[in-house]
Amino acid sequence: MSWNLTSDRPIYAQLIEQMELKICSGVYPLGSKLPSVRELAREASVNPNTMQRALSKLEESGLLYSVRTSGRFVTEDKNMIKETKKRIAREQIQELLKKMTDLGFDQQEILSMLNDMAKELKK
Amino acid sequence: MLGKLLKYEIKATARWFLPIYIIIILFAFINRLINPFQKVGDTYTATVEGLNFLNFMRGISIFVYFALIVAVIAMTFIIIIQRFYKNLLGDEGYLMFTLPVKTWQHIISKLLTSMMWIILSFLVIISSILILLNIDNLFSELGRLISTAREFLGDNLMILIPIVALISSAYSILTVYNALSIGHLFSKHRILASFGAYMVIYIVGQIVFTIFAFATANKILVPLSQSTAMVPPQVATLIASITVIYALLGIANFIVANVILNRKLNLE
Amino acid sequence: MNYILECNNLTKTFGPTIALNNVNLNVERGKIVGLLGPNASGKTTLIKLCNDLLTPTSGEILIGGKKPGIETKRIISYLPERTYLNDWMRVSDIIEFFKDFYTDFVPDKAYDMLSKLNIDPKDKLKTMSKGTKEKVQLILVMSREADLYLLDEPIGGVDPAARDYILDTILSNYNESGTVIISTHLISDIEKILDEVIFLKEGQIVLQKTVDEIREETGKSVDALFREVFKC
Repeated sequence: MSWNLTSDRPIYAQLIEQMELKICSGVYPLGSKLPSVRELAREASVNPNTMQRALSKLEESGLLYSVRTSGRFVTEDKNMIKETKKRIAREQIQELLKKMTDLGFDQQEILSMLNDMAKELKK
Repeated sequence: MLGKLLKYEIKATARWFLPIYIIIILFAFINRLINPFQKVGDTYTATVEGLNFLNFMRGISIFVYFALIVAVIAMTFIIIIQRFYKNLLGDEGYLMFTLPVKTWQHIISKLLTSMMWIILSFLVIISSILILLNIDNLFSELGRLISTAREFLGDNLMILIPIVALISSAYSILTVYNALSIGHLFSKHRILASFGAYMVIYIVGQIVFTIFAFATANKILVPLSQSTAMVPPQVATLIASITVIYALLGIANFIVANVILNRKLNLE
Repeated sequence: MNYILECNNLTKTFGPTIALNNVNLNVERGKIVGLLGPNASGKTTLIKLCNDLLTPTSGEILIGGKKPGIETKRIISYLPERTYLNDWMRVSDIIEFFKDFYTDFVPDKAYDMLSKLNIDPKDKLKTMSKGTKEKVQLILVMSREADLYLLDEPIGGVDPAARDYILDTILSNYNESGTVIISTHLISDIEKILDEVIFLKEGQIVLQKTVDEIREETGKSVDALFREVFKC
């Protein structure tokens, strides 16, 4: 999973989102140790200070925790990950709904289209 | 830090001088082997007569030898100019002037290295001539030469002459450095401006010497011209004075160059 | 007081041309700063003043609280626009040279970076291409544990792959308690790695802000803002 940053929004906010995604999708599994700030910054080719800022935010929200001498870890709290997943999903769906409404679809149409596509995916 | 600068300055220049020194000495030996000089009575004359292969080789060999002597002298001058111009005032200056080193140390390291090569070039040429001439009992002959010179010149002059040679060559090198520094003040035609600056510095030097000559005429030049002695005592006074003037002019060149490089440096 | 770079009413003129006009600037330690501006806006002049390669016409410039001189040269690692490598050394000689003159130079780091690029330390500088010379120079500069890195147009005139290599080298090698100042007019490529940017226009500072501040306040990338500020 590569880092995908757009140019119009604050970088640290985007880093938070991408880290959340990586944690939820298991790139960084529950309870695992994260690479150092410098390594992560290099990987994303961003400023280490910005990466540091993003990680601190994630620590505040509880998704990460740090142990003084041994580094930074992903939370072991499954519920928390679940909650985060839900939140991201809601955000994505909201965005989708907004776009669809802008295109002129009503709720019924959107739902049936979703159903159809989900069925096709299963096959 | 001066020591480190000297080390790299010598390294940078040695790759030019050492090979040519070796070749000169080599050719001196070659010439000695095929012997184009012959001692006739007390003088040495060339013995290239008739047109045969050996004489042809002798001619070529002696020509190459003299060409090498001219080359080493020319090279010494060119490298003195080129090391200062390219290493300090060209692109390499970006590296040199951002080293944690004082500007005067750059100038001194280049001056000392140049003087070292001038002295070595002089010694190599002299040695090559001695090799070429193939003198019997070389060292006792040299000893005799020195003691004759000492009798003739006296102790003071024996010391003063090498000193004035050294000081005047230091002055000449610093004149070149100063001229290049002054040329650097111009935004265009820097080389042309350096030539102009060199002429001006040269003329200033001549003026100083002329003023000195007039100011001290009664004490030095007049008695000197009237003296009947082979080596009148005024010669030593004259040479000592010239040494001091060269030293002062050299210091002036050094100070001006140092101030320019410190405050007015503007690398392209 | 703990600024790594301070300029107070700094002015530099060349004859009638004003290169820097009464610049006041403070740069903190531990930052990566973009010095941005079109050509001839005074970027190189400012960097040369930091390096003691130029002397201010008026005002003062302080590096870690000191005027430019031997002490400041010890703590600055400078990458000029020009290639300053001479034509008689091998790569290993120039590494030795840096080791001799800079106590903060780490030869192992340099050799490591060289081997990653497949540059033989026995190679002569003379026979190298311009691109390779520039890389060697960057390696030398980034192998120092300096307090202030001054990189003048490090990504100008190179292809995108080389650009990535250069930025990666800077990010993975700079001394984290030190500050990196990168001058460039190619902003979109480096904006992600910057803490803050300084916009220089006709010898004056028109803006000094963090990248995220700019994005938050204007909803634009630094690159887009730059194009706006310097519209012809």
